[in-house]
Amino acid sequence: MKTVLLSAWLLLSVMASAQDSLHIYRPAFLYGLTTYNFPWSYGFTIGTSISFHSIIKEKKYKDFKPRSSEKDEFISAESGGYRRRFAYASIVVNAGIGIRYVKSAKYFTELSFNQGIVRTMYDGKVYELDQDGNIKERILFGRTYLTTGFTYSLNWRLNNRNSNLWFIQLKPATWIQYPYNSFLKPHMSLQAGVNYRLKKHSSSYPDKSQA
Amino acid sequence: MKCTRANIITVFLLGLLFTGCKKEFTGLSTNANEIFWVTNNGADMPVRVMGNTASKIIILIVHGGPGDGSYDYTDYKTARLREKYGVAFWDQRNAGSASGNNNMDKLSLPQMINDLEVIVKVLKLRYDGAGIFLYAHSFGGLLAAGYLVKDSNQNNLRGWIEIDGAHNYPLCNASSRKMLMDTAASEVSKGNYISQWQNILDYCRNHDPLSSYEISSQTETFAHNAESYMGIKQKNSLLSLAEDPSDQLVNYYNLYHTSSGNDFLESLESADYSHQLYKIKIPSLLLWGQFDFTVPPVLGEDGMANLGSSYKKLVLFPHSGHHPMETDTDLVEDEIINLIDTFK
Repeated sequence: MKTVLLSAWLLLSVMASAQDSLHIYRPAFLYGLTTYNFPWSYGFTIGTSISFHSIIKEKKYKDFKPRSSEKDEFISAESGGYRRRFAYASIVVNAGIGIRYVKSAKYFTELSFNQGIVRTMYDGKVYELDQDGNIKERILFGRTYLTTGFTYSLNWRLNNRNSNLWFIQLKPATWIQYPYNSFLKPHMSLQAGVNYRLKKHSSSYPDKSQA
Repeated sequence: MKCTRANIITVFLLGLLFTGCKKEFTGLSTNANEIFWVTNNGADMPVRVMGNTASKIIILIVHGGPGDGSYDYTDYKTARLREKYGVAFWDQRNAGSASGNNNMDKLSLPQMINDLEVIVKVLKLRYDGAGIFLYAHSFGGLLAAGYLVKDSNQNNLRGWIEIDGAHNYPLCNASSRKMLMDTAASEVSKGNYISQWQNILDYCRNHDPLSSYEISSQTETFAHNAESYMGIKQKNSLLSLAEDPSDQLVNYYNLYHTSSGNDFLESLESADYSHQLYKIKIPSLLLWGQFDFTVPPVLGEDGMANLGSSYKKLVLFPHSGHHPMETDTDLVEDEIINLIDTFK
């Protein structure tokens, strides 16, 4: 049995890995996105993400060509708003934590978990019966809910320079709003826009073709 | 503060958001499309008003369910009514797009009757001088009857239309069972859908829907199925009831999968306004699908027997089940227009 396992193992590619966990300065990202929240809601989001920890793995394969993979752990903060037609406008503020997977200098992805609040303000006038039985108007009336969600973003570099890079970002998201009628209201969103890297990278972000 | 480009963009975007969010009431119109909200005891309920409000007539939709929404009525079913009158599409609490935080514990028939009282008050304030008619379907018939027999509420209205309305749940359950058994026996003898009808017949013979909510619920499922066996067209998508399907998912989950929702549904099983219908004096139009196994035409006959209105009329539609406004749209609208034009 051991022989079989060893033989199978030898058929696989030979690879040696080295992992470096770094606390190095990394740039912040600023992003601005338009949002479509299914169905019928439109809005925008602006935010920033700041890396606080990076993990770079150098891998040497049997062809002796080194390849590296890079992960940045980051925190994020964002705010925005969206409007659902004939219903309400809302302001969303949330904070998140996530991982950025750097595939190459031209492309990276991000997975993040967000926690926040959303404040709705209803369309049109809002009426309420007061204690005397008269109808009164409520100004800017709405509700506040908590939100929890996951996002996965795809980022493609727009130009070839190595500093002040602009990326196009496409970000599907799923999130829940609660307590909504004593339960959770699920949402699905698609966001698209630009992601701007503030300063030149102090670590590699190596172009895989050059590595 | 420096007037940087980023600040300007932020202010512009926020301005764009908030200038777009207000659909203010701008007066009466021949082609109104506006929304207002009523907040009452934990629930924020939208009322979308469409159509010819310049007619000074408002038809208030009291939708069924409970838990459905009014959005489903904004299509062809009310197209001609909207040309002639204003139609107000109200989402009841925990239905349609009505929202709120923790409010399921407040869901009850008396609370919903109170909601309807507030909605009518707001309509009268907002469309000063307009005549209001109720258009109540299914569960909405129970809610409307509860509203009309309470205090002097009916004085706020010019008339009401009950469409396959369940103003007496026990009678509804008993007559549904009887209609299912009678029809099943007849259809089996004719050789139509034999196994399906036999299954219904066997179940109804051995289960009394008045004995438990579970049996009542199963009988209702059979009643829906029976319509299709009789060749009545049915729309099967629950998601079209609200503009946002996730709202509908939340509402149905709350009603059918939580203890407070089940408590509410069970409490309706004994709701009966038949013996109080004599209090209703305003013009009453009762529209029923002849093949409605869910709320059988017996309920319409009960309304005719008990209503105190000097004008009351029952119309049966021979090609309809529980939703005559879907299957006999023109005929239903003709009857409603006749009523309103007579009593506006």
